[in-house]
Amino acid sequence: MTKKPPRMANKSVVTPNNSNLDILLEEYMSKLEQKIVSQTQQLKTITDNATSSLFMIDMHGRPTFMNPAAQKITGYSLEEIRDQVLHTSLHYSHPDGTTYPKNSCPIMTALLDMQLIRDQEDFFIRKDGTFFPISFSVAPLRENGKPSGAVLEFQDITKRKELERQKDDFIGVASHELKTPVTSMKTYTQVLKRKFEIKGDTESVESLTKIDTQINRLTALIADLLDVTRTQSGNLNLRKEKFDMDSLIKEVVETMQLTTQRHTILVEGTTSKKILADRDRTSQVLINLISNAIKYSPKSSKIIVIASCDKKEIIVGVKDFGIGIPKDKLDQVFDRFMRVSGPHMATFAGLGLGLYISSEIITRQNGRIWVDSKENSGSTFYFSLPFHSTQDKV
Amino acid sequence: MNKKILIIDDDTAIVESIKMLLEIEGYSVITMFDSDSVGKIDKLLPDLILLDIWISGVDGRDMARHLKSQDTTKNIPIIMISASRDIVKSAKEASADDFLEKPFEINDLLTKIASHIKNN
Repeated sequence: MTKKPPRMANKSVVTPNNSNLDILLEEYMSKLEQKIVSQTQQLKTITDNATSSLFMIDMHGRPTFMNPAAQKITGYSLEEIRDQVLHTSLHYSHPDGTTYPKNSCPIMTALLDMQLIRDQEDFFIRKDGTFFPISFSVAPLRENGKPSGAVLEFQDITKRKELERQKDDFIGVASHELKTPVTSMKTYTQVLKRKFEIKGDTESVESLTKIDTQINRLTALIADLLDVTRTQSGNLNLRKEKFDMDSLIKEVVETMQLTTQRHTILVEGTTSKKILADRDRTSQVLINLISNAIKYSPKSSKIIVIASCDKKEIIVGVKDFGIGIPKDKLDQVFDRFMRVSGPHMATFAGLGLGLYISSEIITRQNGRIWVDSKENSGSTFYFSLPFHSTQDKV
Repeated sequence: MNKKILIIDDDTAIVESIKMLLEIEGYSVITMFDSDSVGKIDKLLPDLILLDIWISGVDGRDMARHLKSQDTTKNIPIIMISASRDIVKSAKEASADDFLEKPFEINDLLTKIASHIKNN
């Protein structure tokens, strides 16, 4: 007689072949399904409510997903643009009207190269044809280890650009308003000095020379304040051009030699290179370093500018034989508002911005700036800049 | 006859300080504080123009371009003066003959003026 199988609490009939394993598997699958649904829901909540716009694109560059923020900002629905490359819908032209080829598009390049890129700026085009500035990032996607597409995240930065423009305008206005009265002060001072020189009134000439020196200091302080404002707001615009570094050194040394009768500024070595950098700003750095060398070596008679290069960069050093820098201050010299302290403080006035600005200029050009110094012996400030190519010989 | 220099700048103090300097140096000086009298320049025919980059809200570069486009004034050397660091680029854009960043050394101003008047 066949024994009837026992009944389970849920009334399933347990047969000798309907093993616990199947039940466990079924339960596991059910829980997994619930988990997937839950996580999908979470992801949807995140993407639906994200303020950043999101696209997923396939390996052809066609959108397979866009979140509500992307729909709102572009004016498109996914159905309207899913059949063509995203570049063709949003990125086909530059704001000046020129065509934007797909193979020049950094998003397409990142997709094909499976490259992660972050925080780049460009312009997209809405459905109504209007351009808007964006900051975007692209992250490659893989499925089973193989490239499957990318995620594009972007934000409309119109407001940020407007703020930058307002800051630029402010800097321009501030520069003009501060320098205007200084211009007439300087002109009148120098004219008066000339008149007294003709009359032979040396005492008045001396006083006016001192006034002129202070006006120059004020001018430099205004320039430094404006530069540091530009630096802080990211508006230190660098205009790169190819130039001969040795010519720049020669030019700056000749100019700075006119500012000191006590010191002889010598040049040792050459770079024999052209570099791609902002010539004016690099000149500003060298002027700042030589100016500091003159300032902080009032009792010595020479300053040496050392020029050299290695396989990848040019290196320029400015050596003085002055007061030097205390060991505990060496790692702070490039900080904002770092000034000489102690017994020399009254002698060496300044806002302490020159080295900070110089450091910003050099590091933003992918260079390095550093110092060797010994108190009471002198300092050598160095900066390096990469050269563009090994072909760039003078 | 003294060489004639026209100064166009909306800041009275700057104009008068430069005027004092140039008259001491033997130049004859005409001054303008806005762009309204630009039309008279072809009758004044100065030997050189010192032109500020912004004159009461008017872009000095536009004035320079206009002067360089007219037959009667195109050969008058123009030195643009500005408080902006971008003066080099601005002067080139305006087809000006030279530039000077404010504040300047009076010797630099005098050297540039002498050079351009001599060459013209």
